[in-house]
Amino acid sequence: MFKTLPDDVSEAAIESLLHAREELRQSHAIADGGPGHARALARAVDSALVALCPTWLPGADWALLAVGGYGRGELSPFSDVDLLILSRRPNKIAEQLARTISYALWDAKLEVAPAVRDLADALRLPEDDFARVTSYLQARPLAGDESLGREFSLRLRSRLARDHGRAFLRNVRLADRQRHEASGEADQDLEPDLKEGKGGLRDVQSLLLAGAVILEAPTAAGLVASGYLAADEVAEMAQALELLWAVRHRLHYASGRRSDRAYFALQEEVASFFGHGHQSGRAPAEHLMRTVHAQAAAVTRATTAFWEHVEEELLLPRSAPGGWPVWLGSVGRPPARNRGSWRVRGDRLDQADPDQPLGNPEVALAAFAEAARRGVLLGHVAIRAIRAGLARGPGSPLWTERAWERFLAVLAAGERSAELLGQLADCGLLGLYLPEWEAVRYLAHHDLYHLHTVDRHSALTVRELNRLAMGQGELGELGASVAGEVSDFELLLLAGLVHDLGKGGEGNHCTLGAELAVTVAKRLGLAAERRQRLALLVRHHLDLARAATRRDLDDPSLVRQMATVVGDPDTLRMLFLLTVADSVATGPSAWNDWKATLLRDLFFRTLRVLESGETVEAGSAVAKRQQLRLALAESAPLDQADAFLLSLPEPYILSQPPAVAQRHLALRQRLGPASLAVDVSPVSSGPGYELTLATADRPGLLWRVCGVFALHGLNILEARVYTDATGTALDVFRLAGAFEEEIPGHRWPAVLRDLEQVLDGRLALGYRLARKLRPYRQSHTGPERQPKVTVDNSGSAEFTIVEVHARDRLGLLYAIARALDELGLSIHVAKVATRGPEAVDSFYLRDQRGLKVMDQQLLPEIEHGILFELQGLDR
Amino acid sequence: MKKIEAIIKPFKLEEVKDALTKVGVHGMTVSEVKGFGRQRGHKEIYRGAEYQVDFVPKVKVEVVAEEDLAGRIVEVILTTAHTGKFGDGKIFVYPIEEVIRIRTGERGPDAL
Repeated sequence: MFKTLPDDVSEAAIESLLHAREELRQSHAIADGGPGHARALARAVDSALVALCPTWLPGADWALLAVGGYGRGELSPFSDVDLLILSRRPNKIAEQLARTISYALWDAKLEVAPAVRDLADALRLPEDDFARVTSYLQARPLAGDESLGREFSLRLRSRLARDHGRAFLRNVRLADRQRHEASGEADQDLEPDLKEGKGGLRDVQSLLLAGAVILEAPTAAGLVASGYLAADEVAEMAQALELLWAVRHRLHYASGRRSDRAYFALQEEVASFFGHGHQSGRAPAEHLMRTVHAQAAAVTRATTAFWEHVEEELLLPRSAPGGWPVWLGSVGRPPARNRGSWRVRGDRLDQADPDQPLGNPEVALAAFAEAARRGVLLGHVAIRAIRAGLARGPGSPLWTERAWERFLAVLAAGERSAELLGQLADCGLLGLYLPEWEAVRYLAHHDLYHLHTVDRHSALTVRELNRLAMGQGELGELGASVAGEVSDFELLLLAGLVHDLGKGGEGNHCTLGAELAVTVAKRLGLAAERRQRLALLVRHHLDLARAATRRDLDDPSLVRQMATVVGDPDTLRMLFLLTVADSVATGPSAWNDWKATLLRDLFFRTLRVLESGETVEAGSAVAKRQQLRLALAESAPLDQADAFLLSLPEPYILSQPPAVAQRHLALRQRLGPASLAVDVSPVSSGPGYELTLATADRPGLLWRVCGVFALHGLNILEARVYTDATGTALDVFRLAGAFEEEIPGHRWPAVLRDLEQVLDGRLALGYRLARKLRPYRQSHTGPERQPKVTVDNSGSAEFTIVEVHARDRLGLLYAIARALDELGLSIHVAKVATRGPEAVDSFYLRDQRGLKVMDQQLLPEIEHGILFELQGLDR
Repeated sequence: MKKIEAIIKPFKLEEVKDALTKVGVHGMTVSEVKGFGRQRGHKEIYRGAEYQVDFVPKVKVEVVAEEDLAGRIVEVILTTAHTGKFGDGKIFVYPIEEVIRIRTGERGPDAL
């Protein structure tokens, strides 16, 4: 029969456990406060348990085993104490022992529920309970029949070693991945889970368990000797363990319970334990978390390298052991040496020779670019080689044009961009090319808004921009449509990367970030125009989101103000995409359907103002007029400049840059008594030509001019039509060749001659166009989409907006302009966007009285008239 | 006791909150909501594709107060959330049967 344990023995054991734990709590210090403290806590529990299983317990068929983390001999203050009571055959003693231990430890406020199993049962491991397998693997005999405990461990291990441990290794990998999915990433999350998160303590334990199965010797030194880990990785991991354990102990002590996640509420208290004070304007918690993130990153670096090596050696199919050889292209060494030294295996591009340090930043960056183009990551051998190479201090590399191209390839790597940027930063290359990056590395946003550190958030913003452009982001098709019209998407990707660099300093991060952006852009050798635009995007990256939720979108002055800040439609599109990407990368509190609707609304309203040149802020028109006046005075007498400016409508003042206005004034002066003056010049930014014509305004002017352009194979990308106070029309067109990119200079005089003829009424335009277009009529392939006309009377306060969706072809604008002319509608601005074979033309219209079309019956007439003329093009 | 539920324009939230605090409201619940009333939704066209907004984003503010304060609260919301344009929102007033503070079990006005 079982004898109950005398009360005094039990009480004494618990009393001394409580005492020991209290002493440990009081003496917990930074020095040896990590794994050492964990072992001391485990030893205290060991003693109590041994005391609870005294020698008088009859029979030898039982063994008390510590399992799980406790089996390893490591506990945090409120960790679970996992126990297994084993017997060869089921017996009452084992069960009684379990009860005694549970009750006794309950009094010590430790929750323990020992599992009771016989040997056969314990070895029958269920496939789906992998957590139990790993827990049992760490079994450590505490009391009872020691031979039973040893036999259990031996038999368990021999079972797992079947298949060279492959099934086991795969299971460890799978369990790790699932755990990361559920618990997040300790090196990037603002409230990291130090135990279960990626880069947390469990990752190190998984690695050691795997090492034990592969090498049957679970020491870090053994893993280095056999090439699974590098010596510096082991050293960094040991350092990381010190900090992560110590912080975890503090989190337990601070919360008085098992809390492995560093919640904001606990961070401050833990930080003060580590002696972090207020430094350079940052809270103590931010200093602490930065260290935690950096150490967790070290764990991730080592474990990633380890598992990649294990997968290549043991888990990947043998069929392609070497992978596919890759030539990196010319990167400063002879191709013969370069060829074959890089390989793609699985989803990694890697260096073939593990002992070759890679100290040339240009070559390293080329490898990243190649990985980006292939949609893979860089392998651990290469990452190690780059780290080792850069540790020798190659000095700051130059931003050559080629380096910039390669860097862009990484930024534009679609879904892979964020991970690749992470690798680029982790191996030290990003910091070398972009020293400003170091100030935001592992930096915590101490707020309830963000989920990630500043560096991770920036990388995610870049990935969101990629997604938006692919139509896979939060905006769906609209994202792709807007991104397709952005003239400088590369600059936008760079803006995504640097938009929060200002957080590394003190003060307003938008202002500071704009300054840093200029420094970065200068180093990259970007032209002044691009530098200014980058700075504008960074300075105003919060403005749209703020205005969308906090300001009255129905207030025209708000929309005008946004339009003035942004300046032009292209920059607005960039800022809109940056705002969406930034918000999505921040977290669910910054982005949801509700905010998306408001933001989109503000974007559309501001775009209408910018595209149409509708009255912008009165003050800004005055300022702009002054700016134009100064510019014009450089090339003409002041009285002529003033007369010219006074005669022009406000939309012209607001939309035309000074350099263009100078040319227009010259053109206007040339017009004199002649009936037509034309000026052609290549567009300074982007493809195409700008053609401006001045002539006496008359009905049907626009469609006639458009017809002549079609006759000469010129596509119209944009048209802006102004009429000055003297009744002179000043029409500004952006043109591109329909069949060739460059228009030879000798073709322009013919265009000019036909323009003169058609305006003199000496050219049968309809007949000539029909003859010109006939050969092209059947040349289009693919399904014919029905053209569509939409009339929008609510998008703009001053114009009726008509959008025409039709197959892109010569003469399109001619046909539409004719239809509108017939209805007495004047086109103020026409914009043409092409998407593949389709053109989407937007027209800002006013009626004969210079007002929006208020006559509801006219609206369907517009649609019918345009559709009819479009059919005419095909006849 | 009354519950005052107001649907307002998002940008008016700060103003309404400040004004309510001034007249002695110590607690409120705020949610981001979407819906339509007379303002209806609207449609945006961008490069040929239509973006329909059926439900307009609004903010819902809920306040429970004693009878004598309820009238004042309605008045404050009415003046601060007003712009005179469509979509200014609505205010609903409900009778409240019971209020219980979960932490202490206090009931009635004490629990407010």
